[in-house]
Amino acid sequence: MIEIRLLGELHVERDGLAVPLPPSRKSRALLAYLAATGRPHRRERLCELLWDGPDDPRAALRWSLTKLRPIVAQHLVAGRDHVSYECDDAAIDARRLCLPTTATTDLLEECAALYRGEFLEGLDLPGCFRYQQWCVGERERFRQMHIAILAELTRRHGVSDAALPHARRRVIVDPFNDQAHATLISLLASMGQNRDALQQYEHCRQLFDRELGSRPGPEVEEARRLIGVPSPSRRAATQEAVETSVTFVGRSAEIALIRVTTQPVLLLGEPGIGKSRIIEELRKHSRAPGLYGRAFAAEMVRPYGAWIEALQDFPAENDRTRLFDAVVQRLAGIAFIAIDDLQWIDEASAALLHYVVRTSAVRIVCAARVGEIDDNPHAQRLIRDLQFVTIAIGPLSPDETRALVEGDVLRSRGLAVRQSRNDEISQPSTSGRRDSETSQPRDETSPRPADRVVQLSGGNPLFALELARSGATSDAGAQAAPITAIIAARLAELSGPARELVAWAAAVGHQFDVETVGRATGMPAGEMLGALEKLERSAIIRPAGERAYDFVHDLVRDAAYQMITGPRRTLVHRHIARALRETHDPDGALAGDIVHHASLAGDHALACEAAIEAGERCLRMFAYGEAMTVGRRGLLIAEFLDGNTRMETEMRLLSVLVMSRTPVRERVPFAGKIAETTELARRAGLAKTAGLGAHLLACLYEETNNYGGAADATIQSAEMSRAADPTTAALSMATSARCLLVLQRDIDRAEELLAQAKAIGVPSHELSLGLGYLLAHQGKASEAAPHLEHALEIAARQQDHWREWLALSRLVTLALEEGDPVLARQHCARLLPVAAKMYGGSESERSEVLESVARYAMGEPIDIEAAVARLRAIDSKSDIAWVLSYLAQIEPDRERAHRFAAEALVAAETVGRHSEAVIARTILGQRAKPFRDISARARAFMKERNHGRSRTRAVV
Amino acid sequence: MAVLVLEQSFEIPITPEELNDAAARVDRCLEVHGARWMRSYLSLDRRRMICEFEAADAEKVRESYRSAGVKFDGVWAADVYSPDVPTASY
Repeated sequence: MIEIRLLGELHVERDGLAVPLPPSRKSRALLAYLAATGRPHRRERLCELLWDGPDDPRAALRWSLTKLRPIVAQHLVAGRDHVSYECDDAAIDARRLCLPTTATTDLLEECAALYRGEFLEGLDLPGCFRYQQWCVGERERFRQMHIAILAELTRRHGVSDAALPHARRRVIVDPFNDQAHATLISLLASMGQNRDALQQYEHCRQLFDRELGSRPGPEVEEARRLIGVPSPSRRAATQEAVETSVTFVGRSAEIALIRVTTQPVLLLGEPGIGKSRIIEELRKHSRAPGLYGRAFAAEMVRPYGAWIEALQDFPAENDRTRLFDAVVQRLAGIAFIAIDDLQWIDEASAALLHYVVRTSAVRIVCAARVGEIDDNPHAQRLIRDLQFVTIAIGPLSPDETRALVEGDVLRSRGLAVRQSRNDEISQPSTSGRRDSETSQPRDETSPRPADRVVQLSGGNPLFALELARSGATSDAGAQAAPITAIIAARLAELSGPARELVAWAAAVGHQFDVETVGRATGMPAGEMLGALEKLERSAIIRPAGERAYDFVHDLVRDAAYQMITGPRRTLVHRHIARALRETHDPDGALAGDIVHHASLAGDHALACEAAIEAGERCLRMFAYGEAMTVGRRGLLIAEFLDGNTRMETEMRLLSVLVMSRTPVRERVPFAGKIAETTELARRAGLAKTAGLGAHLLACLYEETNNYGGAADATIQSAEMSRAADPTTAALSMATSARCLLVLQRDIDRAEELLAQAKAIGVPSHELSLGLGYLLAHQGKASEAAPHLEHALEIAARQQDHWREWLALSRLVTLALEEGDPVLARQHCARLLPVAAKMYGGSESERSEVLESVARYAMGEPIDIEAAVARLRAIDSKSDIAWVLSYLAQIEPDRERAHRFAAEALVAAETVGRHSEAVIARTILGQRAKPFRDISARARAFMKERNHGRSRTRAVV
Repeated sequence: MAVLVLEQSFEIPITPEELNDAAARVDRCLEVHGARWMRSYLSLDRRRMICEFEAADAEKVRESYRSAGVKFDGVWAADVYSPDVPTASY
């Protein structure tokens, strides 16, 4: 039996033995073509395929057939006009392939095994266009089939050894497919082969970079992100291993006190005294799960940093209260929350902790450095408001220190020495140098070697451990050097990649991601993993969370950071900033870190870009204090930028500042800067930046009651109505206008704002109220009333009683001003029930007074003095001004009218109601100031009085 | 400018976030109405609060709170008695 293999190099077997093929590539190509297609072909067609030229193609075909006949004689059917290769499908590998979706797994395994390479590998004939075209097409078709088979097999085998070769193969067959790489990385990670997964990721990254000049897609980055995220069972095992690896001594009184205290607890002590270790011990022995988070150093802008670390999966919500509620919901079943390094807590994390304490039963244990915590107002407020029980963590006793050192360090050193020796046997050092720390002989036979450590450390556990690790147990010459010097000396003993890596890791921050460091250093993955292991064994770093490492203590990190000299430090931060920038970070969570590193590196453009991103992220997370901080910082850095870039950057940073909902007084000082930058941008032709500036000014002025400014900025900003959400913009403008009209100020501006709001075409109660008030002010009562009724209708629908009341009360006063007290009383009948629904204000009294005035105007015997007294009692001077000026107009008793007018004038001037002041002065015979904003009614009244006309109340 | 006192009570203890949010909204309206917040007293159980303002009249404070949509129990104008104020004021 003859078998022909097309998947890979062309290969023919007879009865299991390879048959030599003719040297002619065209003859081999002819056989392959005939076998692959499995149908008869006209001789002309075959000639066109392979011998398309001036020579005698048919002779060439005949010649080739003669070469093939000895090999596959019985299957080669060459007629006068047609030629074909006839055989069972089973004899040709390419014809045995099955559809991945319907075939059994065993069959698919067989199909996968048929692929020895690409279709007709190496059998290219670039000079034969038609053949080559066919060959390339078929090659791709079979490659796609191969990919589908491998993907299906990988899927079917799940997380198992059987899946791995198929996933690996698929990456080879389809090297630029993100999904293929992601699948393999995920599979390796799921099988616990994290190192292989990282290497695979690294390979993928380099491949994409080298071949495509691009980065792998988000699927690959996501798969990379999940490397090291263990399954629940493995996570428990890992944590157990970490937790039991360090000896815990003493602290029984402190732990007992923590356990009996129901209030939040603060462990306070000097660095290295063992606060974090106590928390770790509490976690270890807690029956229910606890959460652990660390606050980040102040220079890192990471809102909710401690919580994000604690929860891992931080919720996203539309407002801060919902966000906090979502966090509280996630705390169900959690026994306690531990926040370490409280001295660095950010405002947002502090606010959330505050909320959690007051709304849930979860217990809180925090730790902070004594002294440093005094510098953080957010932490101070927490301690004060939540009435933390402070537990001072003091030094260990000499016996405890001895137990710690003897029970932990000396033992682990023994392990380290053994481990190191094993490493040396199995993996010789490439540098040829021996690590001085692990290769030094240790004197473990001398009695109580920890005594010296006990003496020098003063009971500080970290100090004691570092002394012991540095060899002070046997070094009689060791003096009581500062702890930082001890640590530095120990770090100085490191060599090779470990020494290099520790400095970079220290520059990243107190927690570092392996990938980031790898990318920044350019260190090969394998070398870096070796260095990490070395640092971990040397108790310099430890695994932190699930994807990162941390220094065993910040003092160790600080010492490692000091190993980097000045100019090199700039370079290190620059590389880290760029490595972070390249990290897949759709949420901008790393932006704060990038600001930090880029600014230290003097990369101002990158720092500013990141500051904007970090600020916008803070706004999204309702971390307004942090947004303000990062915005200010960005502005300082932006001063190093030039020209248009500086203007654009500054304006975006100013946008972050203006949009942060911090007290407006904190943001007002930026108005000058915004105005200046807007003008510069306008002159430079940066329309978008100038537009943004005008919009920001409008927002700011509106908040600070500078309505003239708001209107100016609004008019200048052609983009505003387009850029902002139309509904919000319209409502905001209408509200501003209504406010101005109620206050009788800047009426022209109010009119402009209303016109703009109206143009946007979004109806609102504020717009109708504003229009009603404006038309009433203009003396167009009949036009005003429908708007007020419309406002009333919308407000009633929205159960907004105050605006209902505003609309109705204006209808009452409007009717009275128009000399229709009967209509006013009718409106009062609607006004009183609305006022009754309102709690806490003065609306009921004011409504009743208005009703009394209407009845008084109708001639009813009302004790109007008593009504006015009610207004005095509630201290509503605007109402006093309006009511008394109105009463003064209708009061027939001249002396009484003058008395009313006099009081109205005082009240009107106190609250700046110019219309009432003008009316009162007119009645009093005084010269009225020509205010621009007085109402048409006031003007009309002055005119009437000038003509000697007057209106008095009806007399029953 | 008169001294105005505003009283508030909360069925559920007010959270700092709610307090901040309300303050931010009221601050804006107070400024529009020419009123100025002076100080506040929040009970330790966070259920009662008294705020002191300076404004042309009590209605300016009420309107600010109404406009901001923040509930309150009442606002009244007040005279201030303190060790700094001469005894003759009593």
